[in-house]
Amino acid sequence: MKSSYLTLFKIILHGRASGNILIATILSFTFSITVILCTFGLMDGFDHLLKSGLRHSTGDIVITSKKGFYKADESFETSLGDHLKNFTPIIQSEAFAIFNGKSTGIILRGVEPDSFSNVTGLDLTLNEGEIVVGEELLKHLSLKIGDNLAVTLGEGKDNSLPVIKMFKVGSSIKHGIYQKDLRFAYVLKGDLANTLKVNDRINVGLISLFDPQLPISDLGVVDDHINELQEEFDSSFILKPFWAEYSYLIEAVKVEKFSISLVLQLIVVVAVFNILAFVIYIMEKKSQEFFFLRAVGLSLKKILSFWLITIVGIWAVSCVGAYFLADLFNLSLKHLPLFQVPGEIYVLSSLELSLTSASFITVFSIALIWILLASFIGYLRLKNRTIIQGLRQEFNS
Amino acid sequence: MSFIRLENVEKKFGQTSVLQGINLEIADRELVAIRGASGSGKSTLLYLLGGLDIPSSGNVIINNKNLSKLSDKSLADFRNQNVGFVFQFHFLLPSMTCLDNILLPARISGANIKLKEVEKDVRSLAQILGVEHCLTKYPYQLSGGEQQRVNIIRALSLRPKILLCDEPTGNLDSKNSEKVADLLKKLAQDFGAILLVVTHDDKVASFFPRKIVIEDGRIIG
Repeated sequence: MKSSYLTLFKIILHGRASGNILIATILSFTFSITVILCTFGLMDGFDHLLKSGLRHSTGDIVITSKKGFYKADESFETSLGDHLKNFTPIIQSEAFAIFNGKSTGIILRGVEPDSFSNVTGLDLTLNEGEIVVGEELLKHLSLKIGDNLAVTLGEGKDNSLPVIKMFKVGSSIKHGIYQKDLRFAYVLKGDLANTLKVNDRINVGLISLFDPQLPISDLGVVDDHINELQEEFDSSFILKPFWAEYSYLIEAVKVEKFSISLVLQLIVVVAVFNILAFVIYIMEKKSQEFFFLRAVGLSLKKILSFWLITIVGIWAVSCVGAYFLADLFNLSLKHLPLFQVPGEIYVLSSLELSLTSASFITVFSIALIWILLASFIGYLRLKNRTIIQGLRQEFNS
Repeated sequence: MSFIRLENVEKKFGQTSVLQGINLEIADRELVAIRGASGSGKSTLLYLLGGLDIPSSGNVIINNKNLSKLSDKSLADFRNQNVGFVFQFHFLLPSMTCLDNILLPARISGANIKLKEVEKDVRSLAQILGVEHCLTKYPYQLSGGEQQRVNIIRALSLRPKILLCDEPTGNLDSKNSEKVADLLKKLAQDFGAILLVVTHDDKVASFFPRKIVIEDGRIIG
């Protein structure tokens, strides 16, 4: 079989046109698979990065109170019960950051670095009098580490004037969400509590239910915990899941993924046409050879095996090519400025492909089904003519 | 005992009956000419004997194998290992050299064939037929006579038990036709093969001891 397969392959590939059309078919199939992989990868990547960025800024559940500030005392912690993995108290206030005559509105968060890191998975190092700013805010205000940043915030008392506090920029932080990276700044909880004179009260609590570094596949679990927790707290407390703020985007991605998958059928159809063109071209161009080989002892079974090996070979080479092209596209997304997304439009600071084994298996198997269908048509065409009909038509024409 | 036996064979293409009620026996090593006018069904009969087609009804039994009952794969193996074809249109693949054309049946064979030995046989046969210099050439570089001789070498390359020739002299002048007919007869005798030659040329038919005449799909003599 091996030598007859090689003989057949040599016959099929004999001639420049046959070789070229084979390469063109593989390239077009590779690009089609790549486009589909990259589109799904981008949408899954957007979804994944958005969720992970949100968790990096809010943990899994955010607790606020309709009354504003509240005490996270023992009874509060008792209410949390066994639901949480970690909890971090936060004092959060709107403020203005001013540097070199340029000012911008920010959300200033007073945090306990250790518990904040445990809940969000973000590494946050803060010393007294220091401020950690989002990466985009650092760029926006042209700040450098070590600069002194003026922050203006309300003192929290009626009729009082805004208070201006100076903080030394200790480092920058990246949540992964453009708006958060542009607006969020962190100081020690004690520093902000003293400025706002809120003592040991907080206005935001963040809860992590799971390891913040691991993705949550089933968002329903978070909802379940929220429902259970809501029963423990009085109605003045508001518990929201981490995606609440951007739920419309997550929903939009879901809808878009479905509609794009329909549009992508066009790309699949184009690729299938290319393969059909290859199969028909080979059948037309090489049918003399096929019929003669049948006459001297090549069975239909061998021809079918040959087609299967060739087609599966084209598919396999295309899949490997698509895998590497998708990888290349992912690298370009991460590193080439040309591929950087405008964060103010796309919410995220950067995009990356998220392709799981399931994505590869789905796209590759659908491609295989299509390519087998296309080649089967070519095989039927050959099978439906007798050897004599084929020989007479092909060699007399 | 007959090596080839046809029992009440009928072949139809759609509603048209090309062969009907064919009963025929051919002994081992027999040399037979099949004569008939164009469209009489002689080529169809030859293709049935070579397993290139199967009858609409009746049995084609060769060496105790009923070809009608063989699977496509078994039939393909049968053609490869038992039958050599010499066609009027030589069917040499233009994309390959003559040697590669000749070795094709060996290359695609499912049987355990030693390609080097086949090539050795082929070269010595090419020397006998005076076309050794043609082996490295492409078919379009050869004259009609040379192409036909290459065609014959390919048919004999796997030492078949049956050599089937469909109008092998159809494209040749009378002098060359006689030469080819004589050559086929000698080669078949040397190889110990049954030779069946379809021809409408009485002179060519006269080279063979047995003649079968077909008219309107029936054997009449």
